[in-house]
This record gives sequence, C-alpha cells and structure tokens, in this order.
Amino acid sequence: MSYSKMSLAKPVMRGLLGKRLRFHLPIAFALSLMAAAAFKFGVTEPRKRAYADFYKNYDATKEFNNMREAGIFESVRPTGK
Amino acid sequence: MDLTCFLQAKKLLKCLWYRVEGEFCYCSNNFHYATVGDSGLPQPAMWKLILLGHIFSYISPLLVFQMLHLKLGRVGCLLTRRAMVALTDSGARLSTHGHHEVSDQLDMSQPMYWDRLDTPLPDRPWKDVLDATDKSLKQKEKGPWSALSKEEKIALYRLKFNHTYPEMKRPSQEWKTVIGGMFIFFGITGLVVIWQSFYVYPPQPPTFGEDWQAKQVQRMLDMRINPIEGFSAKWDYEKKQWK
Repeated sequence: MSYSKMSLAKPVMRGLLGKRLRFHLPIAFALSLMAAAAFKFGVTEPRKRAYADFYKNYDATKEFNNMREAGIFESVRPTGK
Repeated sequence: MDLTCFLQAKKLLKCLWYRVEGEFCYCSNNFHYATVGDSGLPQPAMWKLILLGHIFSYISPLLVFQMLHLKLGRVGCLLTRRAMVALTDSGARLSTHGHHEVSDQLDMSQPMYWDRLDTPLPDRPWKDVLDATDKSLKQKEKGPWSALSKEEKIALYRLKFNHTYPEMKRPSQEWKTVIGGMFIFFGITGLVVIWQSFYVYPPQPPTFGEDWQAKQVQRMLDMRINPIEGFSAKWDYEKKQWK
C-alpha cells in the first residue's frame, strides 16, 4: 500500500486563550466604561440637578400649609374648622 | 405566554414602577381585575385580543394537520427512529391475531448508521452488503486516491454515507406544525379565559371605579407624592393641570 503525500497546514495549538483575551478584554473594558459614563451623565447628573433645583427655592412652611388646607393631615385640620 | 399573563405582567410592572419611586402602592393588588370591567365582563380591548386568539385557533388546525402526515413519513433523529418503526408496524401487529412477537425491530446491539450534523462519522457505513462493482471500487480505493475519477469518489461517498451535509440540512415544514400548535393552545386558553370571566371572577372592588380613582389621584397630589421626579412633579400646582 503506497499513499501519495497529502498534507494540510498544522492548526494553531497554543495561545488560544491569550489571543481571545487580547481581542476581547479591551473591548469589554471600553464598553463597560461607556455604559458607566452613559449612566452617570444620563441618569445620576440629571437627577442631582433635579433635586438641587427643587430645593433651591423650596418653602417648607408654604408647602405644609397647602397640604393642610387640602385636608390630608389628621393632627392639624384645615384652618376654619 | 398567554394574553392574561401579558396583561397581568403589564399591570405588575406599572405598580412596581410607582413602588420604586417611593409611592406606597395605590394600585390594586388584584391583578386579574385589570382585564375585567365594572360589570364583571372583560374590557373591550380584552375582547379583541381574545377573539384574535380564537380566530388563530381555527386557522392553526389547517396548518397542523397538513404537516402532520408529511412528518410521519420522514426518518427523524435516533430517538424517534425506534418509535417510527414501532408506529408503522403497529398496523401489521394488530391485524395478526395472537401474535405477541414484534417483527422488524431495529437491533440496537449492532453498530448503527446515522445521519447527524453533530456526529459526522457513524459506526458503520451506509451500504454494508456490496455487490461486485462496489467491491472492485473499494479495492481501487486502497491505492492512490489521485487515480480515482470524480464519479468514483462520489460513488465511494454514497457507499459510505446516505445524505450529504446539505441534504441533511434541507429545510423542513416543521415550523408550521409548531406555530400552528402554539396558536391552537392560545385559542383554547382564550376560550378558557372568557369562560372564567363569566363564571369565576368575583365582582370588582370599589377602588376600581372612576370616581374613586379620581379622588385617589387628587389625594396623591395633595400629599405631594414624589414631587421632584415622579408623580407630583408632573402636576403644575399653579395652573392646576398636568404639565
């Protein structure tokens, strides 16, 4: 039995994990950082601004009196009762 | 996921949203009432969805039964092959009285042939019994393969394998059976839901009424529920209207 020589290129046997990490880790870090930045500037910063704006000119007494007149409290009834 | 589940999930999500924002739950916890109106009957939108599912349940049997008789003819995967053999032989078995032997059963103790995408090389070749031409071809295969012609190589392949990979991967009509069966069950579920709405659901609590809901909203605004980013933030207290 004689076989004519047939050969394929030897496949890559080593360094597979390293190659995968070198490709995927920078992408993973970049995407994670982008997600964190997007959340910070899309959610937390507007929320902090909203709270700051709300309390800038907040008059607690006035709000309390409005709520009292609406009749929601049980300890203080609206004025005139 | 059927229609009632979807509507229940929607109501649940809405309640959870307000809970997260700090509002203690002013929505009712009886989620299935969402589909039922004041009189105990389903609301108009729900009727349309139920009727749609019901229509599907009429269309789907046409798809299913058309495909079922095709499906039985094909040889399936390993697990179904014995079942197929048993099914096709059941007619013969029933007709011979007093016979308790099963004829033509697959011998699982012998090497098997299979056509599988994930396991490419079966235990035995497709053609076991070779005639003279096949035997001479197999003799020629023992020499250098460059001496084989293209037709001979294809003949050798067909000796060893039944289907090629493209033939194994040929599209089937099974999806119609699956989708049809799905719609059948959707329709049945819809009918069950309609029956439930008439015979099972108790009367709605008063908290679902229009007046009660309006008074509830007014009370939430008076209490300044979530005045910064949530409920009361959307109400303009000066102009007394929604922003």
